[in-house]
Amino acid sequence: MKEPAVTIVVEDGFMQAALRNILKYLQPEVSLVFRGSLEECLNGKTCPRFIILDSKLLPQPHCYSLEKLKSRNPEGHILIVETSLLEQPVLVYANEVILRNDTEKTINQKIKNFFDQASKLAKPQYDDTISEREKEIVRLVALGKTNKEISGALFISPHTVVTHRKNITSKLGIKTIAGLTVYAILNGLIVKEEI
Amino acid sequence: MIIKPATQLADAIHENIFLLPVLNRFDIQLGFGNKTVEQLCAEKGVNMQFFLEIVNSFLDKDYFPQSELQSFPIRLIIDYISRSHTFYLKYKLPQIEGLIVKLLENAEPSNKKAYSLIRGFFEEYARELIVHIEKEEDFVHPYILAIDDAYNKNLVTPEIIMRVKQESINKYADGHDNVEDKLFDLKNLIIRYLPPAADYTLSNAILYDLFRLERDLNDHARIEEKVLVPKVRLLEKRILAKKA
Repeated sequence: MKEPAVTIVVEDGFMQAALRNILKYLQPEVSLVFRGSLEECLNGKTCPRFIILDSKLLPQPHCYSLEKLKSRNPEGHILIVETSLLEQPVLVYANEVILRNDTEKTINQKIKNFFDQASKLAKPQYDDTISEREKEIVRLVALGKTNKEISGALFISPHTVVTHRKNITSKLGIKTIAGLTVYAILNGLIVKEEI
Repeated sequence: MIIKPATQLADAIHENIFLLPVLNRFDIQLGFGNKTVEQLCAEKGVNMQFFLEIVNSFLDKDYFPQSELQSFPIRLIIDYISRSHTFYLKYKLPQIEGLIVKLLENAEPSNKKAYSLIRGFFEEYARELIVHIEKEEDFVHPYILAIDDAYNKNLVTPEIIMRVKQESINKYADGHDNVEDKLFDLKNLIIRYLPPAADYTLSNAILYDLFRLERDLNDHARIEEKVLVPKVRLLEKRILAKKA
């Protein structure tokens, strides 16, 4: 499977060559697209998943430009390479920033983090087929509560709890308490430490 | 396809590859050329009627002429069941666990937590299956073999009668449910909720194996419930009648 393309917005041939080589080494799977300016990048039809940007090419005020970029491409991940002085708040918009005085090791680590972080955000979509009430019940079941305790905690009849649980099982395709617990952790309904 | 004495075993394998582990339980290994079921059974000293019933019931879960299966010695059925237990414990579970461990090792850092949850869930499932199997091997099977032996040798002692009263097969007849549900959940968790693996061939392999295991276990449970248990019930009844 081919990884999504990375759009690299740089001007200097030197930067282009450097980034091409680093990425070839660290992320051999990704294909690269080079753009000479941010405008060129914004005008493209596609929304690149990864954008690597030379800070020099970021029109001032930086935050405004980044906001615009984000609004055009909310899913995009932005890495800024600092070649000119950056306004501090850009960190809010950028997923990673390579600073001028970073060591080679730090740079490699930052690039790696940048791609890892993106894959973390690409987790499967949250399963929204169960209602808020059902989520609450999954949560309590996962925490080891009995039907009676759940009925007491949520002020509903035990019969209603049973009905909810049947619906949950048929919607999620999970029958056992242990299975619901795994589901609840995977979907952030509980954290492991709560158990 | 119904397997008959004259069927070439190779054809049966082409029909359904999942038969392979079933054949292994009869000590039949690959490389059997054009030999028929009849020839192979004779060669391996396998009771052919029993073999045909097991194989056909595996191919078609509705094929189950109980009356015919009832005519086999209990020992044969126990032996077959024990061999499938060995297959699950020695090969299948470690194999799947190995794949899950590999999945975890190769996982992207952000997926490690989710995969280790699956590993934990699988281990819990495996433990339950092992406990279930050990109970059968350590208590149920020895009990069945003991009363069968006593009945066949006409040695129904008061101890045997006591055992029949105390250990009756009905006590064991039901006990697969939670283990089956866990396997069902495990499949669904992987199919529906686990973040996709970087190496999708690994998660595919795990799922293939889980489905195969489930298929085999279902067949196994069917033989226990539809063949072994009724047969033992009948035996218990005869033993208690003998006493009267």
